[in-house]
Amino acid sequence: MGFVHCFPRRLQQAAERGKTFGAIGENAYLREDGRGRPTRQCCFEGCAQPPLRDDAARGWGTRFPARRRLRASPRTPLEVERSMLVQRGIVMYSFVCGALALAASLLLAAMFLLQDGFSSRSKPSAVEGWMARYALRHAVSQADRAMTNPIAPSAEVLDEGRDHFADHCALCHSNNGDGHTLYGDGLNPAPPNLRLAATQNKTDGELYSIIQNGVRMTGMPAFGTPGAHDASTWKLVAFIRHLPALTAAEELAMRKANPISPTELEERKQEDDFLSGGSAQPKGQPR
Amino acid sequence: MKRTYIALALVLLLLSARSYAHGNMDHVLGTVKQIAGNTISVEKDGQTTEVILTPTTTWENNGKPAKAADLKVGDRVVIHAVKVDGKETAHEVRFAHPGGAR
Repeated sequence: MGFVHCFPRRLQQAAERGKTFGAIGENAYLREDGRGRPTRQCCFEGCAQPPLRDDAARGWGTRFPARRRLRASPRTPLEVERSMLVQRGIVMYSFVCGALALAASLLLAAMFLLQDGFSSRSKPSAVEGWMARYALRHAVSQADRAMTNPIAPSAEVLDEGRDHFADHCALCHSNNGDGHTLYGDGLNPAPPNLRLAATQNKTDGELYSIIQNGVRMTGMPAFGTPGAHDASTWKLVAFIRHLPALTAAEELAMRKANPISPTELEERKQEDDFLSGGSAQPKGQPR
Repeated sequence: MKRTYIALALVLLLLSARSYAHGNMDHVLGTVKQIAGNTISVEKDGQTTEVILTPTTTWENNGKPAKAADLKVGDRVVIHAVKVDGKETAHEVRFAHPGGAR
């Protein structure tokens, strides 16, 4: 703290006499008026010089009351020094308390997560979902994002894409793209409903890149060869665009392309026989 | 020895049920006894099961796409369903009118 008019020794003497001062900025100690407010006059008798920096006195005239009170509060230099030390202590104390609170919060969150476990049954929290969507948005490069489908969606292209989807994708995404299958319902994060805007609003390049490169820490694998431009993937992109308009007949036709185990095939035959009035008695309930 | 055979039979029974499970879906089949709102009652051998229908339930009549309204009392039906809150909820309904009528 610098003094404009007064020597530190004389200030100390004044303080010992119980005189108080208004500290304004760092440049002036001014005499108080009768109501405890600092004046523009130096606190030492005989010192007629005006403050070196006239604006130092603006502490009183400022339009910020809080700052004005702080600057105009009558304190001795010792009190000012003590106040500074106290302020530093408060800052340190706040920092230490904040760090401890953060550590305690992290510990509690970890305990909460460990208590509930990390199975695929629990739905991801809103924060986890937001982070996953954020990561997905930035997982595709700008160059890939800007790509457009080079294959026009003709009937043949959609047929090829549909059969490919039914054979490779429907196991998790279901034939109509809503994601409700044995595997889709068991995944966490669950596969998105491809018919909805969240997927349909993605660019062709984003859809292509996700199929080719997969999505980390989800059930979506990378199906493509790095750097390759796969025509069959572009046909899948065309078919995904078609999903919101998929007809019931198309969905039914996709079942013929769905992978099926020998057991399921046999079961299907028995069901068909039962439905056609045959005597076959497929297992099921009511039995 | 008898206990071993019984245990073996139980294990085989469980395995056979699992292999038939069509994923994790139950198979409800029989004849439609009643249709009431979003619930259909299916009867077979005197035992009745109620199945809940949802907007996402898919319908198939003799291998062709169908609608809920196409299902009639007396139709033979095979329903692939999952249990939701203890109630069978239909994922897929396959049915045929008696006598092969379409």
